[in-house]
Amino acid sequence: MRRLGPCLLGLFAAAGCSSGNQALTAFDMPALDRPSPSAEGGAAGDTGAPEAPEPEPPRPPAAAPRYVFVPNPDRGTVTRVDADSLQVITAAVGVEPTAVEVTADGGSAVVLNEGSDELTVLAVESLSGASVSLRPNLNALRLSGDSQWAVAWHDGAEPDRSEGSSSYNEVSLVRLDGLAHHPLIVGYNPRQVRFTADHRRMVAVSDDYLCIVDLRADEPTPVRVRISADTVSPPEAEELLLSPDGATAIVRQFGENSLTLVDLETGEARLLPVGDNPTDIDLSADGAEAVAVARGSNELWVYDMRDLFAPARVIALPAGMTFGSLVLTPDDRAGLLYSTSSGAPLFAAWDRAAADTESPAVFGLIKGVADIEVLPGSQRALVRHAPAANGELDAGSPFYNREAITLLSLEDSFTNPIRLDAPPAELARRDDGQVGVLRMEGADSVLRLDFDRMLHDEVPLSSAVEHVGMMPGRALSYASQAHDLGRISFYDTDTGALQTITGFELNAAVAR
Amino acid sequence: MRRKPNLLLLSPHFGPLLAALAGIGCSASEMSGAYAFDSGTSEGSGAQDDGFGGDGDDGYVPEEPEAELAKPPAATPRYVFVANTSRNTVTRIDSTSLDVITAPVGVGPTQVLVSENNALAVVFNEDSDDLTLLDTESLSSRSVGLRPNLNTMEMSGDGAWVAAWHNGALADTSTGATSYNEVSLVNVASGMHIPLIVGYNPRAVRFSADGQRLLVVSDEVLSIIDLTEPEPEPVRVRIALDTIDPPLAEELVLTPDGQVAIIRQFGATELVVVELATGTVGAIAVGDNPTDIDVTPDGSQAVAVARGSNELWIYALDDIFAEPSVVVLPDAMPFGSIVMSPDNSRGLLYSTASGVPAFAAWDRAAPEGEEIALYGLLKGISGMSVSPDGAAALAIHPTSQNGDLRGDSPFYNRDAVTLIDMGDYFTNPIRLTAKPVELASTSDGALGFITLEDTPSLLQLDYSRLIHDEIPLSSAAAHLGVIPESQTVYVSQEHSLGRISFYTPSTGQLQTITGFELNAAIER
Repeated sequence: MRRLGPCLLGLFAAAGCSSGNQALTAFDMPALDRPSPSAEGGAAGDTGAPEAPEPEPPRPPAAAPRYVFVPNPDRGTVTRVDADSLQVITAAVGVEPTAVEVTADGGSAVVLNEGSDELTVLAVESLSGASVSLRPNLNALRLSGDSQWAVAWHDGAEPDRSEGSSSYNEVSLVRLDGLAHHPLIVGYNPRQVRFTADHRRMVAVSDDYLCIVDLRADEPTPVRVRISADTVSPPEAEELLLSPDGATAIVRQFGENSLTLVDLETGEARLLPVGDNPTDIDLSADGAEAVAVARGSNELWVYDMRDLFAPARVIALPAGMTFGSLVLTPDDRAGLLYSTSSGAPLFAAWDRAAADTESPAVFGLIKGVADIEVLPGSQRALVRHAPAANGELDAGSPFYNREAITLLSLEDSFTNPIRLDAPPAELARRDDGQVGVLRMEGADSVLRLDFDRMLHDEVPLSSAVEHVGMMPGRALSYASQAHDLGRISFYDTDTGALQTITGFELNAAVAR
Repeated sequence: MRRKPNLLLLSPHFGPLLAALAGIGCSASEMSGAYAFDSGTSEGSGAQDDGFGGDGDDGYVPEEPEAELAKPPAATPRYVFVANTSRNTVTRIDSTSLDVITAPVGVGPTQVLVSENNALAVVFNEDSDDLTLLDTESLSSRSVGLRPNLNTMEMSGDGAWVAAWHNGALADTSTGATSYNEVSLVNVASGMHIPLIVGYNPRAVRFSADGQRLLVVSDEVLSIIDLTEPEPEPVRVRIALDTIDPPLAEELVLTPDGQVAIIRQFGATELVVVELATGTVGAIAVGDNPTDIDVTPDGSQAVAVARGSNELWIYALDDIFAEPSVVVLPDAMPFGSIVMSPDNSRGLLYSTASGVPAFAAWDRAAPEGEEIALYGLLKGISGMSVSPDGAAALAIHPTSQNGDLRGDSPFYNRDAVTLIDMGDYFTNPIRLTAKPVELASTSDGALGFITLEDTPSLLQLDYSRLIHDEIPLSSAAAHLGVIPESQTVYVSQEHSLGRISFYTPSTGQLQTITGFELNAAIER
């Protein structure tokens, strides 16, 4: 185990904050003195592919305290479901609504209409609404925590259906009060877009730039900070972490041996050592620590968020195995380590209270891992397996080349693998954390997962399921399904009762 | 030849082993095992110098599990119950009058077990994922739903509980989302179903003799279910140091007092011992690569065959940690399996994995150094059994294990059995026309009967004279049994309207009833 002192390896000159959108050119930049991997003593030769990106943390369904909103992309409508009465009303919006988010104050439902390049904002109660045009070809939406802003951008991880002349440097920032649209140019192919927790800034990261937008300004303008010394072929900016106080952004780049820290107030960028090839970085639930997985040097690097340049704790991971991804438990007591690129059918359980000299214990899984999601409130985690990552399975195994999930106990690392007929697509969790409903791609059934007893039950439905979610504060789940006239089913996860409503789209014009 | 085992290998002190093995507590009942985070077993097996993780590699695959050719019939003192899988019915035979009545049950009944008090016949319906609880007198019934895709059923000795599970050794016909970690526990009296999650791919399921616990062993964990609890839940105990690729947990044996479980793992050099009340895990030495372990018919000892070191290890079950005695076997051939005579005086040793056409007779009363004698057979062995009175034994030979046979031998690539006189080990090999499927013997040990795959005949074996006779039937046999306390044999056969034959050996009389399924509605 090595402990490194703070190491200022280079300094980026921040683009001027007040004079406009100017970034320094390469000629203006000081030489970047990055240490080579061999000088740091990190393991050379990590030629593995990047880890699969962690799925977005499961966000609660587009729900106000009383309503749930479900987009119907094929029909240009949004369905509002009353959680108490189960009354279903449909409102017409733009073309191909693909995302709905409800503002934090529960007053508005914001709809991204991908087909008509516009945002529709509906009043949650009356369903009256207004629309604003966006830049074309945007496919992702996020709202600020203070209900003031929405941002849409093009997520390159999704299929690209753009037509005509297209720029992939654009985001549309919309002030929801008044629907003022601010088109912004950020770095090419933004990887992630976030609002800071203090609601003061929007941050967009690309491989070459971090763009900071001050939301307090009358006319929000991007300040672009270069985050890569390689101006020709910058490394992929895989992950963006924001400190809880909104003051710092941490960017993890594939294949590097440092993290890039950007002071969001000053735009100053600095480098933070992180072992070799960090493939994941997560913030602890209490925001006190950031933990990076240095896959190339087989280490965990643990940083104090109050002082990122204090010496990091470095924990050696089990030798001879590859770990590239980490998920931390909500109680901050443990973490699960795995790799999505190696295909190895195993995980390691990290006890965060254990001494740093103790390597995490390793346990086998039935197949290789696509991702692991910790299930809050249940002492369980859900493992999604990559169907082709068969590990040591015989061709005669019932899991060979098959889709599968595993329910995993965080208490004792006991596992229950479950073979599926279709890829797992979406998980809705009950508020008490005890039960979940899993949608499978293209399937006309859902799986009820009892996390406590680790049991599963298949619930057949009348047609393919498009979305699943939970009604807030209830044991009732909903499943919107494929049907020309609209179909939605409500499944009581306690009693097993199933109600299906078909034809509610007929009300679309009347409801508005 | 016996030798003193190395005392250093015996490990009645669990301290270091507890630190290594993770004990898992899923209920409030306190287990003293360490938790996974403390184990530090990041390297898997072989990393610790405590006797675990031996090579166990003697070059052969695991032995075949002991054949279950002979299953006791589902019977009360008066009735015998037979499942008719393709017709979704169960037939009740009056053993006195031979009256036959059929009752509808669920879809695809494959097993019937009768409760200890003879009041209920429990039918396992594989295709409808449920049990039918059938009153043995009135034939009234009720159903209990089970977890899907299970294929095997066990009943506690007192008949109070039934456990259904998926035996991975059988064909898998599961569809839909499927977990292979599930057991359905059913209280027979109340019909209460308790779904349980146990270790992946259970290898064996056992009820303790006192009926207080259900044990389920998988490669990684032993699940202990306390049946005296109002809501039984599994307590899962890790039994393998290798948490990534644990060894096969091939066999589970319980001590007669129901307090200790012994698990045999392929390729190991120890047997895992679990104290069921506390979940404490330990180990006892067992030579190299134990491939079989049996409890003697009197229940007093466990005998393990250590194929890798060519030894028998004999343990007293009333004190499993007492020093075992070890019998050294001849190294002329590998021995991987054992079957004991009913009086415990002798054993037959053989190997199903090596294909060697020979067996050894173990005379437990013989002087040291003279206990083992080798005898040749015509073909390799897939299983052996001993007649109820111990006077004869039967060896089953698979088609392809030809030993040293020449290609022109009448037994070459053919199914066969061999009758063996247990007095002098004289052998009579019998070539068959098809693979033997089921075996039943009369309780007096005089006769045995075999059905052959897809064959409309019954083979009678005279254990004392070593003679066989073939009795033709009207259609292929489905199930075979002997009416208790008699020599009458019943053979249910494949027929859309139901067909069953009764054969009386003393007279050679064969009575066949066809069409009794027509009565199913009327009789009830």
